[in-house]
Amino acid sequence: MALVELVGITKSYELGRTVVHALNGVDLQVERGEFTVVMGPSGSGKTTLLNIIGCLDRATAGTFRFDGEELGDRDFNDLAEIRNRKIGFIFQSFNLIPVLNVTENIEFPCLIRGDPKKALRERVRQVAEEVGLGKFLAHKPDELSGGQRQRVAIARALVTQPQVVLADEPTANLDSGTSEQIIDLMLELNAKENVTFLFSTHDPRVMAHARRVVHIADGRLVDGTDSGRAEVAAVAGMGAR
Amino acid sequence: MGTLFQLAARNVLRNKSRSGLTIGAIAFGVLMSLLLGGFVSGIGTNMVDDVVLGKVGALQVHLRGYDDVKDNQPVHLHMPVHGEVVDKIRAVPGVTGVLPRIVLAAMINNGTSSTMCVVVGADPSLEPAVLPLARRGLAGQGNEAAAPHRGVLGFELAEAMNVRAGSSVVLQAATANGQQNALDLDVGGTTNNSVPFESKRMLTVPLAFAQELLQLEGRATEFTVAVADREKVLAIAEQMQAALGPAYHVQHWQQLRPAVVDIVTVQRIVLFSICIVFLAIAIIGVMNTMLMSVLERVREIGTMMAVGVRRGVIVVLFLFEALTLAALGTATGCVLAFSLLGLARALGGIPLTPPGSAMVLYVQPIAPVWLLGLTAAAMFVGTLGASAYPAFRAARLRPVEALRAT
Repeated sequence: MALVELVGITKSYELGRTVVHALNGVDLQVERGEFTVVMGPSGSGKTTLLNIIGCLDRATAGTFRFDGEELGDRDFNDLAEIRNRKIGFIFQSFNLIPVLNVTENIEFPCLIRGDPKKALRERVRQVAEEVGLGKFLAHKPDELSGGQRQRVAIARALVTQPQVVLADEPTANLDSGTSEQIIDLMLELNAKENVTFLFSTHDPRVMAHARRVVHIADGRLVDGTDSGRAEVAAVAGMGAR
Repeated sequence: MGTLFQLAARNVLRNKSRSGLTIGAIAFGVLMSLLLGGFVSGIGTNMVDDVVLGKVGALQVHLRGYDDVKDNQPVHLHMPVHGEVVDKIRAVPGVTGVLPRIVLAAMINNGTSSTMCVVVGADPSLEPAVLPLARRGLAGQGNEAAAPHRGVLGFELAEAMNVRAGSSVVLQAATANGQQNALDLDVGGTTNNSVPFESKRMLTVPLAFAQELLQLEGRATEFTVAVADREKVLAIAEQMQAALGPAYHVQHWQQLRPAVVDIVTVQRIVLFSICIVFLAIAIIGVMNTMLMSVLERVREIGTMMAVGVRRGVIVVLFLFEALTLAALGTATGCVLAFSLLGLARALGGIPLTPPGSAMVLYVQPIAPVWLLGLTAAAMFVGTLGASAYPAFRAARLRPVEALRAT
């Protein structure tokens, strides 16, 4: 059973009198332990796709299953619970909470679900060590470099032990050297911890590291490459976006 | 919950100048409410003290029917100063003193002119225990049992009659039998009164003088009663009425001086109205701050939603922030208000001259506990109400749109 399964997913927005089709019938499966990159130019629908998989947005039509469960009709709080327990997020702009230090940012998703703080602190320390932040636990986000902030975001995504980590252009705001380090870190976590990664980018440099690349353009998956699987969804055709 | 409260506190400290202004607005609202409340309450207390401790006492007992004709100062409805009636009054729990008095209408004459006046005769030896403020505003000698033919004139009456301490006047009145009687009275002093009528038309004499003038030896037309706890005066009045029976009429100060009750009530209504304006200004400040806070933190709210924070938790977070502001502002306002009120009391009170009177009263401003409770409750409830819209607005954001915000 695939971890993520999208069948015929469409997403449309109404902007005044104009209907914008962000996704036009996307079929995609992501297995556990995969390291998948969704590749495409700006406006191609990468972020919309990740938002639907991350339960941040709802599809207009189609079927979305996560961990075998159909999630189309779940309410906000159910989806919040799923996001908290099963999904980790890494954003382009890091999205840390500025009034919390590194430790507090990392432990925040666990605290809001009621994990006991004492036991949590040890796990936070371990995860922070893993992403190379052991010496910065008491620092506030504005005392860290861009790369360090993104490491905090990675640690925050991992601390809940999610089934998938969704990274939306995680290297877009980083220089090339730091980008390499962040990608290496994610690859290492994928290999060592078997964490499933799905991230979007339009940076060709990332391609070299990807184990599976899914190309998206105009809201459709147009090509698929697979480093280990026989088939990747590839849907031809161009739609309005 | 602890995490949320900690986060809320840090968010309040995040924009120190804006939070400071908001706390200042709340503190100002609380400060003004308590200062005004303290002042108005002080005036009210002063007025009631003046009536209860200086003029009519907490209770009065008359023969039934006196009240119907009291404006004419009837002297035919009199009671023995000693005996069963007084004993029964004293036996009522809570009564601390009984003062026999006679109130009569008389003509005062200085040898060249005369005018009508109201004479109050009271036992000077019992008066301090029942009406301790009766001699407030006295210039010269007060009434003494040892000097039964010496009295105190209202300040303006003395001026109008062109007499002063040491002068003599003649008082003429109709006795209970309808005969006219006149006695010489030495002027011991004058009194400046908060009630203009009493300065212009009233004089006080020892009870013995009034009894002699009216040929009512051993009698009084009323008993003025002091009680230990003014708040229990209604219950004491009921008990006293039951003890004395229907031939007597017991009235408490609120019945004797209903105008004072009305004035205190009107003052409270005005106070409430002004307080509401001050509190509303503070609450609008909170609402503005919370709206700004939500608008500034849309992406952060999106991030929190992305990591699994529920809508209710977002609402609680913003309400915590508002309550933190309210708590800090209310505490600051209270400290300032109580400091200023304490300072005013330490300086002897706030001088105030009642309309139409030359007497200066010193109002002791005290913010009553109920006003403090009401102000704090209004501030907290108002703050919660004012922050509810921004909080729900934050919680209604769609995560995907919130994350897109710049």
